Amino acid sequence: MTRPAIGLTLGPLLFHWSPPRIVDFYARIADEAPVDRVYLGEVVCGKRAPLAAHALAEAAERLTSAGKEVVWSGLALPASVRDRRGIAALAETPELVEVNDISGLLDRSAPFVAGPLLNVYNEAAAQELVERGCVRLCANVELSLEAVGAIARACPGLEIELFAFGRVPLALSGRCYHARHHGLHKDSCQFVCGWDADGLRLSTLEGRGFLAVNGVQTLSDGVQLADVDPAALADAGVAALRLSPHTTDMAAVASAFRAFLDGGVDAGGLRGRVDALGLPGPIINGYLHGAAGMASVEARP
Amino acid sequence: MGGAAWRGRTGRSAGGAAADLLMAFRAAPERVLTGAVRGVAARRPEVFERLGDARRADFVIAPTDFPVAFRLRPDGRTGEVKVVRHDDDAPCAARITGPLVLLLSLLDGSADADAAFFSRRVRIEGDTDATVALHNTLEAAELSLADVLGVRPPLREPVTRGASAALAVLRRHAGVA
Amino acid sequence: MAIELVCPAGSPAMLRAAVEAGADSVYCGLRDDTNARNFPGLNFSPAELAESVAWAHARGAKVLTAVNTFARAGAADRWRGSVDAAGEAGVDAVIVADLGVLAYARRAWPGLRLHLSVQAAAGSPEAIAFYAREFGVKRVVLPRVLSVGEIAALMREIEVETEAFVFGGLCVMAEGRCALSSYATGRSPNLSGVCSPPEAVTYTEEEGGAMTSRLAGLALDRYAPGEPAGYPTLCKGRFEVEGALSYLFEDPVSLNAIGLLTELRRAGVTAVKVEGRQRGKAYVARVAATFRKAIDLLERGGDPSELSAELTDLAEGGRETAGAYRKTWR
Repeated sequence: MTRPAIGLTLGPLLFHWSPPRIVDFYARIADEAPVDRVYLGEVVCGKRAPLAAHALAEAAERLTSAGKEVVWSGLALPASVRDRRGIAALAETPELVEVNDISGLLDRSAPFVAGPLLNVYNEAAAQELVERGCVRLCANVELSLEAVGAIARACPGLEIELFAFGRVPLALSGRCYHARHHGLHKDSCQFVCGWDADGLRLSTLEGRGFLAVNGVQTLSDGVQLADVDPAALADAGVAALRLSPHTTDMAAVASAFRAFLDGGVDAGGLRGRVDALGLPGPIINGYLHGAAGMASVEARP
Repeated sequence: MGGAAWRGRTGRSAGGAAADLLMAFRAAPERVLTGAVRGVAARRPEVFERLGDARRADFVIAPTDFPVAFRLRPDGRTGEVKVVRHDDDAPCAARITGPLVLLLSLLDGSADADAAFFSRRVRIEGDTDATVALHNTLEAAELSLADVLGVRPPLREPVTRGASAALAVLRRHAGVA
Repeated sequence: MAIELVCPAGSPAMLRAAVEAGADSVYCGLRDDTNARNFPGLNFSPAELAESVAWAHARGAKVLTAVNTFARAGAADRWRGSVDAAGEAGVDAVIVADLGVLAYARRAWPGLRLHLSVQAAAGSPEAIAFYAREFGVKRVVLPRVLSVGEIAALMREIEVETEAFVFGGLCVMAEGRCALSSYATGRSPNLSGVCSPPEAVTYTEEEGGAMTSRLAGLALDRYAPGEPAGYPTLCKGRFEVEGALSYLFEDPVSLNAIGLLTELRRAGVTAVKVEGRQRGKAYVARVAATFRKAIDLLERGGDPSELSAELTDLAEGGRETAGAYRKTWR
């Protein structure tokens, strides 16, 4: 039996980048990155959304004319009336959208993608979403490949996407840690999160890099790399790998993954190529193996 | 690791003459305390079910204001308590150190273990998982000192009341309420 | 109607202590990973649950059972089993977070009251309306990210009861949306019902009597001799950022909103909840008695904030905060 090739998508930008940087970034993705689908939209902090809106609209046009599918992503932790309006507006969009908070489902009747920030940990929960129009699930980052496989087997027809590259989104809070670090308050934050384009590293008392702060979001310091044998990915029902935007050369990251999925390089080759691009933290992949997320499990040659 | 650090902190050499005396005559208290553990296991087997794997763990309970320490393996009807010196360095899962009165109050659930720990009056070294299991088990067991000592009705009630009152007085006296 | 006092129980003994001290309701879980306090030695067997429900009902108290973790892929039967055990024991409500478990409970036990766990992180009127419409949820445990003002505004837009945490351990992240624990240890609230699990915790004595607390080998805090210590919960660790050491997420404090009871009641909150199923009888007896006194005082038109200092010694690190209820917390 031949299986359809595993695709590549680019996840929503999690960091607060300037409009020119956003436009340049997506222009290069449009021209050079072998990704099929790009998720756009502010997922982390509603305060940032108006600042990036024009740049993202421009990016969407550029990506669409380059033949990429654009899917708009919704906010993960709505905190204000404006945030809630944004989610409601997205729910009314007839096109495919990504839902990252359950509030996005109240008025949704058209198909949707369940984002990794929704709490879907098992086949029964996935089934509830499928009944309500979910066509693709980007698995929660804590899930092992085995758990992802169990969900996929129980939900035939549901496309599964896997968080495959980037600092791992671990937590959301009502409190802004970037503001707190700079002695500011969330309500008058001066958008200091924009100073750290890949997030701000946080280390333990003994100087070991551990997490990365991104406004109200906490990410891993380590950079996820799904260097799992493509056959195992296919066995687990994975339809696409999601790459999360960073300042490193994302077109090159996408090309390395494409080569890996097509059999051009092995897991070690993928690791070497991506590592050589310069990453904000060490490579990790523990979650996929059912281990601590920060672990790095080397593929057996 | 725990034992060596503990000796460094107190500067006391294994309890002095009082410890020598208690060690020489340890057979009798060991028999009573081991009997107490096994007695609870016989009367209330469900108490030990909560412990899970921690049944087979060795806990050293070291009252800072008492000449000797105790080594407890809470394995139900084969459980046992040994009297050991404070510098006993045989391997153990966890070592629990604190004022005797406070340790006794944790046993009968009249003091809050977390508060005792956060205030650093009780210290835990070693396997925190097993210690948490022991604490939760004692909490659920509703043991009184009378239970532990195997006092039977009709003396049980007065002994329990007397022991609780005495502990409360001692806690206030020792400033560990 | 007076505000309902909901207290924790990690064992039948603790449940009795809570009710005897004045709790209106007690919440508890079964002894496995289907509840979010899956600590060794803690929680109820199905038989203990049934006995405790009968005991509580005879005294006019309610029992709410938490089946509030996310079912493990391929093992959802265990979560259904816990819902069944709660239903068979005759509990007054089950507290659930997982969409699949909610759907099962509604289908299998249509008469059983459903409360939405804080782990579901439903903090907006739309999210709450979704759970109420789709699963018939009757009460929502509010995420600890909301201020009192936001709770009041929320109450005007929803039709279900609400329950707000007022005392005990404080999550600084949105509950149910935090994977810090599994990132370090492989186990987390959503995956396994524990945060910063005890088997990954070690305390080491340093030269000079200082003590370092570690989780999975990561040094999370260091205490001078005699300095109040804390459990190494990841979000309450001391970290280094750009050369500066700080409790970036939260100081090792715990929540005490007794001074906000008047405002919470005015906001329309149905019930207030005490955290700490792992804390034991001595803890719950004191907290329940103090909050009972506070609520009774409130009913008589008094000011419960005068009781604020009564529970300070139970707090982690000996310090307390009103948390997100005060907007400046952010």
